[in-house]
Amino acid sequence: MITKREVAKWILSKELRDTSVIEEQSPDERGRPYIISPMGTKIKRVLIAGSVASKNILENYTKITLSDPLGTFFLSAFATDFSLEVKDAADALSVGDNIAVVGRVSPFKTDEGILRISIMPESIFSAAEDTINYWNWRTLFITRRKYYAIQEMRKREKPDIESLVKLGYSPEEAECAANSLKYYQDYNLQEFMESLSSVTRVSHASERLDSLRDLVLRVIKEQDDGKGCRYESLVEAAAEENFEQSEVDEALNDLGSSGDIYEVSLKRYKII
Amino acid sequence: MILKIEEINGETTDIDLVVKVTSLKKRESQNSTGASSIFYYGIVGDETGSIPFTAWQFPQSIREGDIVHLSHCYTRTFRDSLRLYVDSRSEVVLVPDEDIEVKRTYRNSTIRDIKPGDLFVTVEGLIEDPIEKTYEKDGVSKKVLYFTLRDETGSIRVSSFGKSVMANQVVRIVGAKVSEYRGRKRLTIFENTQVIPISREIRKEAPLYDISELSNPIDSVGISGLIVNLSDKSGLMSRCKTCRKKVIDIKCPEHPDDGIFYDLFASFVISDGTGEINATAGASSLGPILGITQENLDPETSTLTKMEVFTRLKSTLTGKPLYLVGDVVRTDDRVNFRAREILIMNKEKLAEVLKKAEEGYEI
Ligand SMILES: [Zn+2]
Repeated sequence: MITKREVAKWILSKELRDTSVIEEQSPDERGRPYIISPMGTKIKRVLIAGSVASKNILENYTKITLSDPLGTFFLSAFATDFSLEVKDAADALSVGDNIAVVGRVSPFKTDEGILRISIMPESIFSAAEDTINYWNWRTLFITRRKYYAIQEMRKREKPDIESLVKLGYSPEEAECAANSLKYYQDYNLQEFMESLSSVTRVSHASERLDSLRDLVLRVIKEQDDGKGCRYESLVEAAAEENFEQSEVDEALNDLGSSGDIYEVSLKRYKII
Repeated sequence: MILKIEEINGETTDIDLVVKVTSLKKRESQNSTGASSIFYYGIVGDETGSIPFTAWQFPQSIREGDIVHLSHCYTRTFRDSLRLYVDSRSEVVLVPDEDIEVKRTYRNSTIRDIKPGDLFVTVEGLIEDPIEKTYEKDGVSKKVLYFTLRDETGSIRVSSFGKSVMANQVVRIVGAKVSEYRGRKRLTIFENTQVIPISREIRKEAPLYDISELSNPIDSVGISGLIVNLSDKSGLMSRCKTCRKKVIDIKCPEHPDDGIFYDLFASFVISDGTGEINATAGASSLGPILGITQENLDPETSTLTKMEVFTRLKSTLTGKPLYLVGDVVRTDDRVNFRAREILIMNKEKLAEVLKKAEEGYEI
């Protein structure tokens, strides 16, 4: 390829569906323009994953809808000389198949002037369940980071990309924040973020915390010398099982508020 | 016992410090359920150095410039540097009528931070795989020691002239030089460089990076991701037995009688959502996941075909969540990832990687 490869962005279907901005191009720029999503992401290509919700084989192209946790993507696999392989792969899919897709976004305006975006697949990969979990989680994580960057940028009088980068955001996240504030003043980001929290995330966090609570209870019982078990002993025992001090604090808080333990004196614990 | 900042050795708990708050900022963060909480961050320092901190709880009355006694704090490596944490178990007490002349330099550099051209850097790390070699200079035989130095941010190759070290020792190196050699960072130790054994624990574990963070060379780092594109040059290749160069015909043009051997190779673009990087892998990482042994790669007995290996690579690697450990190397004006280990993540590894990434992000 002669041109620099466009980075494939990981975004949720809702972010793509709510996209209403096509970046203006200067007359000497060539190629398709970027679309700009509510999170400020500049997109030409995407990497998406999900399960096939429908398939419709037409004469010269195949339409696929792909479900992610917040809706569906629309894919159109055309049969052209250089994409026959992709059309074949699309035709071979069944409803319910898990796939990962790399493709170009193709925006078009409806007669009512509404922007619709379909995806023209370049590669279709058969995906495992773990792949879907991984993609869902990463995409949620990336989206949340962009949201925090937007909140941070909002505090500034003028968009200031450098100051966000100094805070630890990536240059792309900082640029996204500036774009979002520029193009999506009236977009309801809050509502978008609330819809994210409905998505169940792949995480062993709760299982992990359960096992830590058991460990804490056991250690308090074993190491109570009458004056209560020392905090340091708990942290030490937990560290041996690869738990962090902050997780021990969380477990102690939980066990305290559920009435399983109490703090006898400063940093000394007893079972109730 | 009250410590000085320069005495803090890596990740440790229950630290007591008397420090000046040189910078203090407040921030609101939201968790995934939308509940918000306030935390504080900034820099504290004493006569021996400064360290960034994060406080989940901090007295409202403390201002920048105040001297405080911090107890029961802990440190952790966050992003690329050591950070002090003040949580609900810690105590923060104002020390009135006192002042401290703060040394406004950060503690040691990390391996990730040091840059080619730096002349007198201080780094700490674990010594791995030392090898001694001799060379001639002005008719005199001299010794040079090569080893790998690892910390929580990655590793670097070190050449030591005149200083000897032991494997698995953790040392502080003061006054070494950083350069770039064949796309990788390299540290050079001279006669007057100090190499001091210290007691600090460093795990032999590759740190996990976002791909967007990898803009400079560093060795022994981990990334996760999905393959965006697998080059069709990947699969089986022939190499000359003598010069090990890739052979396109059946014979090496320079060593036509010496024979060839098969090798595995993959070139792909991998993405974790924060960015993309070109990666390459060889037989040592691909063989185990493809179930191809050294024996299968002997042209005399091998039944493998190019097509077969490419198809197997494609079905094994694409569409799967991968975890790679390897080196970030600069070629021309961009960085590439040379994978030394490839793992297809199972549920457990996935949970571990996802958790690590989330923990690393608390700005
Ligand atoms: Zn040769």
